[in-house]
Amino acid sequence: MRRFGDVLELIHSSCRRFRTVRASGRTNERRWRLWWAGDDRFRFESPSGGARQITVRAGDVWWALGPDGEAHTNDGDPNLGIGMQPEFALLHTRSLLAASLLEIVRDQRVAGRPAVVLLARPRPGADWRWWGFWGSTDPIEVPIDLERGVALAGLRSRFDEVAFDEELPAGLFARPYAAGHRPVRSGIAQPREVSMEEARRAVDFPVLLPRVLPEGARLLRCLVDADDPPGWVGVFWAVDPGHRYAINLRQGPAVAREAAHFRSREIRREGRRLLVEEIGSDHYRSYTVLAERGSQWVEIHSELPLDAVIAIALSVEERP
Amino acid sequence: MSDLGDALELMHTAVRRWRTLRAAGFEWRHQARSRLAWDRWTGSMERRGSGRTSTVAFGRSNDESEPEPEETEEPWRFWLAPPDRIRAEFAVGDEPVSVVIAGDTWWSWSPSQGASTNAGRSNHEHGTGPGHALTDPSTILPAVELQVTGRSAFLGRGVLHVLATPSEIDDNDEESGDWRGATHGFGNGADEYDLLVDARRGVLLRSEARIGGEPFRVLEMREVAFDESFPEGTFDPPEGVEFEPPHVSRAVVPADLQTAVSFTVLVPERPFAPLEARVEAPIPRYGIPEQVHISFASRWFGEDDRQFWLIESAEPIPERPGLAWEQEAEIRLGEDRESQPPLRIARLERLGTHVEIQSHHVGRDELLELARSLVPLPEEPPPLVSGQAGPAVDTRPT
Repeated sequence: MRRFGDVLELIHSSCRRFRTVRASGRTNERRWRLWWAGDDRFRFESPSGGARQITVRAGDVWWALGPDGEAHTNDGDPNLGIGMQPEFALLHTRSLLAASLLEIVRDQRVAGRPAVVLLARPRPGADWRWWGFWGSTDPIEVPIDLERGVALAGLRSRFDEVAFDEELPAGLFARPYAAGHRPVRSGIAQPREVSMEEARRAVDFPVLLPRVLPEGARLLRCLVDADDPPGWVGVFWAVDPGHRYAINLRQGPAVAREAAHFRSREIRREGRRLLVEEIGSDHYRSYTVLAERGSQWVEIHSELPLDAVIAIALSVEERP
Repeated sequence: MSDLGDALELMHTAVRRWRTLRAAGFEWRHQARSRLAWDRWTGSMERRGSGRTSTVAFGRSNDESEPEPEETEEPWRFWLAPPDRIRAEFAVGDEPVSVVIAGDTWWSWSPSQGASTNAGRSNHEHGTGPGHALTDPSTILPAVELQVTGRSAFLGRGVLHVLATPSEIDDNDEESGDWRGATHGFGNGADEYDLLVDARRGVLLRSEARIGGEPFRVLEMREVAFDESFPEGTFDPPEGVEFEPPHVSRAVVPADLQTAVSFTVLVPERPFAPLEARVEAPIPRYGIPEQVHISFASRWFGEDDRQFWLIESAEPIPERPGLAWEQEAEIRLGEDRESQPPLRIARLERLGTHVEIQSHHVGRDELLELARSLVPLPEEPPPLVSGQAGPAVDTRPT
């Protein structure tokens, strides 16, 4: 008969029971692979369509390559972090001890490894990152590896294969795209604050401005995306007195790309197609309206009434 | 099974080892060492990058001539009947507080705060006192290393002596914040915790948090009983007492703010940040009338510090004892140095509305300008007008 205290000790000491992990698995039915050599040295890959989505962290530097070929990096700035995928929870079992009430169910081989299957009942109010259960009270089965103390399955993920303490090639924890790859979005580079004239000179698309604005509108800033060439220009207004409303306008190829994925309802006004999204609650409501103007998309975001936001969006034009 | 396995099993399963629990005990603190431990803990949070910590000091007494005692000891007691019934008595500052919790509803009473209830609002919670942490030691298990140092008896019950040492925290671990908070109930910032674990029930009968080898916080039971049937009425509020409903604060969009209250809402004419507002219901027992709280916080990158707040009311805002004021025409300026960084304050009355402007980071002259510029908030959205896109000039701040 397996002793419960021994299993708890196995989980409690799990973080000292392995140095590296190479694994493949699935979340629901989505397959993935991971390599782990510490919480600041890992790689996670999951297929998406015919391409792969890859996240790599090596110390202070991280890179992410999307299935559309767009890459992101923090260029080593430790202030710009990147989250670990929830599948890494399988390697972080200690918080199960506080987040749930465990009991032994049976022994079983899982992913080819001997395991003890535990029933984990979520404890109310125990909000841990890895095993938070997100308010659920439903118990789940968690097979614990009898040698390493990791979870071989849990929540919605499970290992198909896992190997410990292999020497992992350094190349796994390197930039996952070739030098010269484009586009690369750098997390460090902040948008540049410029004058309207400088914005017009900085981009290769016409900068559109609204013909109508609310009484009391005050131009705050004009920003240009840090990418080369810039993906967007943003113009921001306050509405006084009291800065009681804000109006944010963005335009450029980045906005056009986002429009393709915009979850919204489509309406037609003055013969033109508009995409409208409402964000609302009892204490906050705002509208985002995307308007197509020629080959260009313009996005207006504001807490003004919807009719006013639509009227502003419809009025954008090239202005001197 | 190892002693460590025994301790882990007891602490992990404590909550299912009793049906009811009644206990009485005390919380002992050494003030100077508690501050040392707290400073160490908040320092570790700031190094982790959790942001700047503002500290507000809570005094035990308004009499500044009374020296703070080096050590304090405050009693507590509770009756627990899971899953959702609690009665607790404990000290807050210098006075006793009693609370009864039954399901989503709590009733609370104390000499200075009177009697209040949340009237079943589950998002409005009430504390249950320091002793409650002893009843579920599973909360600290992920965040400490454990060593069983012996077995003995305490309060006539068998106990395991367990030394819990905070685990080394890797800031790259996404749970590092959870780990740092896990020991809160027993005293953050300790080098170690000396625990007495009930060998049958798994609850802690005593916890001693130490820094530099010396205790700074002790939670100890003097009396404990399990699985009793409690007398009828244990979880009922006292009869014949009128309980005030909870203090209600509700967020209001700017467009609805002026119509939400009966007095004129004033706003700075051209503030640097957008307006966010809450209407605070009156709190009769403190003599606080209905208020509007308005915050202006910059959302631009790198401008986290650029923020200020307004409190507005039809009645005068309660005085702040101990503050020195200077008068600039209709505006009074003060500075609260008990708060770190100091809180700058401007007060005035205009159009029948009493206003206090507060900021930790806006300078004196800018605060004065904000106060001078106050105008009524319009009720209606602004009309749209043509030709206001703004000047094609450099908009960057100078």
